[in-house]
Amino acid sequence: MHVDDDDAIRAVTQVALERVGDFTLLSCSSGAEALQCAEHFAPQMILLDVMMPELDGPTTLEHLKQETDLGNVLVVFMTAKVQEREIARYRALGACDVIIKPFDPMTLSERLHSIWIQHNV
Amino acid sequence: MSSNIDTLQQELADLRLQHHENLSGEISALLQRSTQPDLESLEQSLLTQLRDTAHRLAGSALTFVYEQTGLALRAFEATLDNALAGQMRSAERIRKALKQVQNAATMAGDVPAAPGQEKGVETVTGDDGAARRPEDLHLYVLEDDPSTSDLLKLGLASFGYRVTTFVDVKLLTVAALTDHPDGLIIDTEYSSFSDPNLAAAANAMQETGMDAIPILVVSDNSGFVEKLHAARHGVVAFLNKPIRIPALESSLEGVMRHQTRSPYRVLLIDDDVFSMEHHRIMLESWGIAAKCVTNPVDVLTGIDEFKPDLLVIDLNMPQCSGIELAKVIRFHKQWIHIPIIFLSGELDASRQMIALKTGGDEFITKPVVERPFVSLILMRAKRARQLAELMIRDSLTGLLKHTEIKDRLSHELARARRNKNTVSVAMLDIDKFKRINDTYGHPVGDTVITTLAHLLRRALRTTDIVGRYGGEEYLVVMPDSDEANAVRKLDQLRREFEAICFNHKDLEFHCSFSGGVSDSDSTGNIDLLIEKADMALYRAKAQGRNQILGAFSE
Repeated sequence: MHVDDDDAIRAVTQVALERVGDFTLLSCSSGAEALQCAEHFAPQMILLDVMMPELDGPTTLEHLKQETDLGNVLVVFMTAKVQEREIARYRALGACDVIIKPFDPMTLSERLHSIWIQHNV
Repeated sequence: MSSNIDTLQQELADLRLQHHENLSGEISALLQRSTQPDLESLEQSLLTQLRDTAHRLAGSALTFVYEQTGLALRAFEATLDNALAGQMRSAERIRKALKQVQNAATMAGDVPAAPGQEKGVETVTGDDGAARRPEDLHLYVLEDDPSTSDLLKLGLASFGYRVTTFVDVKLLTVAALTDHPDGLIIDTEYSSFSDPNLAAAANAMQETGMDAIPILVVSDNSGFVEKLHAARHGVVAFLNKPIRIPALESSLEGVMRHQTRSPYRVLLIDDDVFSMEHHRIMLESWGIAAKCVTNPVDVLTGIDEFKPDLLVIDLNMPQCSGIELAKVIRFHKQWIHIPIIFLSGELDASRQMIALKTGGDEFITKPVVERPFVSLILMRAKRARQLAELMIRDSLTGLLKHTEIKDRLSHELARARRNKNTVSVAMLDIDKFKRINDTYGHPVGDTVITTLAHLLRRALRTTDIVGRYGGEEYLVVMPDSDEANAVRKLDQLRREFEAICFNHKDLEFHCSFSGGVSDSDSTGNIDLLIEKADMALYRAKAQGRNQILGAFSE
C-alpha cells in the first residue's frame, strides 16, 4: 500500500512498483483513505509519505497500530527531510526503513525487496 | 526484458510530461494566490496550506528531475516553515521566494516564461534580440564609466551572460538580496572604489545565498597591495585592464564551472546492511548519490555500472577483506584514480597503515560521525573528479578529447536507437585559422580556440556534448535534435561568434567558423555519420566559409 498526497508521485510509484517490480499495489491519496482501506486490502508492506496535510505519516501509523490488526506490517517512510535525528525518530515510531525523496523509480522495487528480505529473515 | 525497460522508460517519460503540465498550472496558481491581499494577514492556516503545496510540488518536481524548480520550491517551503515558526515573518519574503520559484522554472525551461516577467532593471540579452538561453548566468557589474559598462554588457551577452550594471554599491546590495546574481565584477576605477565599498559589496554577495558569489576585479593598478586587499575580501580573480572580453570570459568560466556539476557518486561496500544503509542516507541527505553493495563479488560490475567518484569499503567482511578487495579493484587500470576509503573499528595505527599501503587513500573509524565523514568524502570526490576530468579533457579548452567524444557519440547513438530519437553530429572548424596564427601569433590563436570552446559550452544545452576533435576542429553531439534543428542552433552561434571582437596589441579583429551537420536518421553508423558531417563542412568551406550546412540541404 502506498500513501502520498501528490498525484504525480503516486503515478510514478505505481509504475515503479507494478510494472518494474510486479507488486500488487493499492494507492491512497491521504492518511484517512489509507486507514479506511488498510484492513480490507491487508498489505504486506506500507509505504507512507511523512508530510501530508491533515493526517501526516507518523500519525497515520499510530492510528494503524491502534485501530487495525496491521500493527506488525512493515512500514517504510518516504521523506525529503533526512536529518539523522529525524530518521532515528521515524525508526522509533516503528518504521523499518526510510526512503529519501526523490527516489529512482527504476530501483524502488529493488529497495523494497531488500528491505523485505532483511526484515523477514 | 530490454524492450520491457524501453516501454517503462516511455511510461515514465509520459508521466513526466503530464507532470510538467500540472507543474506549470500549479505554479501559476501559487503566484495567483500570493498576489491576493490576504497574504498580508500571514494567517497560520494560509501559510500551512501554502507550505504543504510547496512541499508536495518540490517532492514531485525533484522526482521528475526538474531540479532547478524543485530546489527553488524547497527554498520556498523553508521560507514558509520559518514564517510558521515566527521567524522572518513577512509577506514580502514569501513573495520573493515564490518569485525565485517562477524564475527557476522559467530559466530551466521547466515552465514557459510569463509575459512581462522582466525585472525593473536594465538587462541586455544579446544584440540582435537573441532569445535568452536557459543556462543564462546573471552578472552584476559595479562600474560608473558608461563605455566600459557597454563593453561588458555587449561582450558578455554573446557568451550567454546577462549583465546588470550598478553605479551605486547601496543599490547593488539591496538588489543582490532578492536577485541572487551568479557573480560580480568590480572595476577599481569605479570612482567611489574604496575599502568600505568593496567590503560592502563582498558582504552583500555572501549574504545572498548558501554559496558565496564569486567576485572578479578588473584594475589598472596591478600592485601587490591592491591584490592583497582584493584577496582579503574574497575576490577570486584579478584582471588587468584594458578589459579583454575573451580573457574575462575565460576567468568567469573558470570560477563558475563547478556550480553546474552533477552530484558526486559514492559506492558503499559493507556486509553490515544496517550500517551501510545508514551511511547511504547520510550521504544522500548531503546531495551525494550513493549506492550499496553487500557482496564483494558484485563490486566490479557495481563500479562499471554506477561509475562512482569514490569507494567506501568496510575492512572486515566475511567473504574477503577490504584490503583484498582494494587489491582486486586496483588490478583495473581504468579505476586506479578512484579513491578508496576504508571503514573499520580498527584503532591500531600500524594496522591502519598496512591497510593504506595496499591502495586505500583514507581510513575512518566506526562509528562514523556525520559531518567529518561527509566533508572528507566531498573533498576526496571533488579532487578525484578533477583528476578524472584531466584525463579525458583537453587541457587548453576543457572540452572532451578526441577519443572521449567519439565514445560519447557512440553511446548517444545507441541511446537514440533505443528511444527512437534522432541525434545530430556537427563538425566545426575555425575559418582561416592558420592566418590568425601567422598574423597575430600562437597565443592569440589559442585565445580564439578557447573562446569558441567556451561559447559552445555555455550556449548549448547541458545535454549537448562538445569535444575538441583536432587543432581548430570541434565535434558537437546534439541528442534529441535533427539536422535542421541543429543547423538552426549552430547558425545562431555562428553569428554570435562572428560578432566577438578579439584584440591583439592595438588591432581589433573578428573570426568566424564553418560547420557541417548530419543526423542519425540518415545513418546509424558512427564513422559514416562523422564523414557526412565532414563532407558538409567541406562544402561550407568551399562555398565561402562562415556558414553551417546540413548533409541533406543543398
